[in-house]
Amino acid sequence: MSGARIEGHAADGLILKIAAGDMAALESLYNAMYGEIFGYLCSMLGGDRQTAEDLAQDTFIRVYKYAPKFAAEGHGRAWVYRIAGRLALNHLGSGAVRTEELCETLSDGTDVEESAVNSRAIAEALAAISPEERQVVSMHAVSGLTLREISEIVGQPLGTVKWRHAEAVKKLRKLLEM
Amino acid sequence: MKDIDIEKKIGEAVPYSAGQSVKPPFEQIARKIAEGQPSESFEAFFAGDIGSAKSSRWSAVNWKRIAGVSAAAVLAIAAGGIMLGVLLDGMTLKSESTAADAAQTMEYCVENAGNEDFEEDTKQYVSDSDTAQYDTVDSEESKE
Repeated sequence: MSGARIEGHAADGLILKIAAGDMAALESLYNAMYGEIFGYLCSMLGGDRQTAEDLAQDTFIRVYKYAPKFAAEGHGRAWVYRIAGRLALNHLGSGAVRTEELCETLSDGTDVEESAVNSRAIAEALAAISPEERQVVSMHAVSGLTLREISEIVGQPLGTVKWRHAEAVKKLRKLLEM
Repeated sequence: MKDIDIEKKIGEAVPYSAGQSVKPPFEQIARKIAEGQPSESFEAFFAGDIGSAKSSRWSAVNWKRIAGVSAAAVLAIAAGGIMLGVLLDGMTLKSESTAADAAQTMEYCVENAGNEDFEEDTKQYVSDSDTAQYDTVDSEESKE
């Protein structure tokens, strides 16, 4: 994972400005968090880039609309992820997940084929586990969130999240070794 | 693939930079906001939240169980209460009927005191020990 990520408190400040109708603050947040939100949604949706792009935009539109409901407690990033996760789960609940290659990696070209094969295998493995497990492992692996932050986002106890994460990794290891 | 770091592979497959490279222009977001999207409220949007949904399901399932157990317990207590009540009523009626009989007997005796036939009939119901006592009294009286 590369690129600078916005810190929670910085995100808080931007969301509070967004709540006051500041579109420039929304653009700043969008520029800072779009990449990780898109990546998270990609892994949640089995590599469906078009849907991930649509839902990523919907995420920031809802950040703008629901910003007045945000209570600044240093959890701005988690709040944005919560919205994105809800959109992904709503979409998953509406139909089957199409597994495609996960978003293209910026490889140097020599490993493109192997990268594509691995990417598809990972997409299929992610699609095979439950949405809740996929959500936890995606946020942890793709977005770099801690399990504590994830427990706050999904509204589950830390122990539950840890167990769900362990189960997901165990299943993925088994699926990817087959 | 052996001994792979699963999450490292997932993270490498979906790098942050990939998302940044395909980021649509912000103007698309601004336009949709200006169009009034989305229409549902914050509460409606999160109504299907995993946490709240599971909590609701948990609540629905367990409240049914609690209600069922409570109903069974109430019926059992009610049945027990009814049985106890019947038992107590029975005991009360019996004591009441005994008291009523005694009162009726006393009233009858008072009304018929001095009636020679009644006193003769009554003496027949006196026990042997009591009869002996009266015999002694009679013999002493006869001596006087």
